[in-house]
Amino acid sequence: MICKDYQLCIHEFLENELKKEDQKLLFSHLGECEVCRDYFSTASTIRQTIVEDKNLFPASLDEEIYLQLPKKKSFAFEDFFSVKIPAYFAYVLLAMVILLSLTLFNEVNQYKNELHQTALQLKEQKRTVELLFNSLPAVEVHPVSNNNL
Amino acid sequence: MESQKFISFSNIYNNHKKPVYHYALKMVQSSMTAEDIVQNVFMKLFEKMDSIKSFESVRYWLLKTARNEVYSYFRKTKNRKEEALEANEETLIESNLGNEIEEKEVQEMVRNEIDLLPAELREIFALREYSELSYEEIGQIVGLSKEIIKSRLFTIRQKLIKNVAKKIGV
Repeated sequence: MICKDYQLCIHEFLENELKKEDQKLLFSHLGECEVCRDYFSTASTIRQTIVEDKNLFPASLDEEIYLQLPKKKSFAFEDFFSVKIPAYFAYVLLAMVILLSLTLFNEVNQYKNELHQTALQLKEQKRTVELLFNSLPAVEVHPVSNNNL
Repeated sequence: MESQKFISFSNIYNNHKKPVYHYALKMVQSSMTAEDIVQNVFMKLFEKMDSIKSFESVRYWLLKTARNEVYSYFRKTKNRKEEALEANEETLIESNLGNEIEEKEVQEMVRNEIDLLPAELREIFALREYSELSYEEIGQIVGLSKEIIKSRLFTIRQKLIKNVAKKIGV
């Protein structure tokens, strides 16, 4: 390996990507080569500067960004309908609604029939009463005078 | 549902804000503009939160969006950026006049050298060093192969080390 290869290894080492076996080779070369030693030293300085810079972040930016976000909505109407209901629960609910509708429909029909029957009975009774009333003999009214004048 | 969205956003923001900010900062070389870019990127993320199905490659998406913002800024302020680069060079010459170089000065020198790299090289360097993307992801963002990115990155590092070493007298 030439110095250029070792310099490539230096960058891999600084990024924690160099294999253990290659690390041994690198450090034994650094012990012998002053050029590569200087290269390693400068590369480490650059790396250190970058690592320090990477942790910097303007504190006010967090607040600015969070303030720009649209406000959180409270539990709204659309949220209620967007909640996912398990399928089996939905099927049971649907079946119950259908059963309830059928029962109500039958009840209403029954009530309608009873009402109709009652109306017919009343009509019949009214007709009977009329017939009885009409079949009575006519009443003659004779004037009686008790006046002895 | 809404609360879940806020929680997810908050997690992503806290995990990826620094890589996005430092990428933007290295590219535009102005903290105020970098902050604006970060804001725009995360606002876009929040708008798209409902349509994002997988958050695995969210850093890649954020940096790609940041890149669009950076290049849009470059298009708007092409001339001003060149002026800023010239000013940087002057500062560098001035800072090199002292005889004793302390650690802080060395670090400042390193930052200046990074800022002086051409934009396309600085971008690759920032995506790797500050945003910690893989070679493949960087390749996808800038439209180059993994091998080319690896080789360019080595060239950039060599150049940077050579320049810094020259300045600090190693």
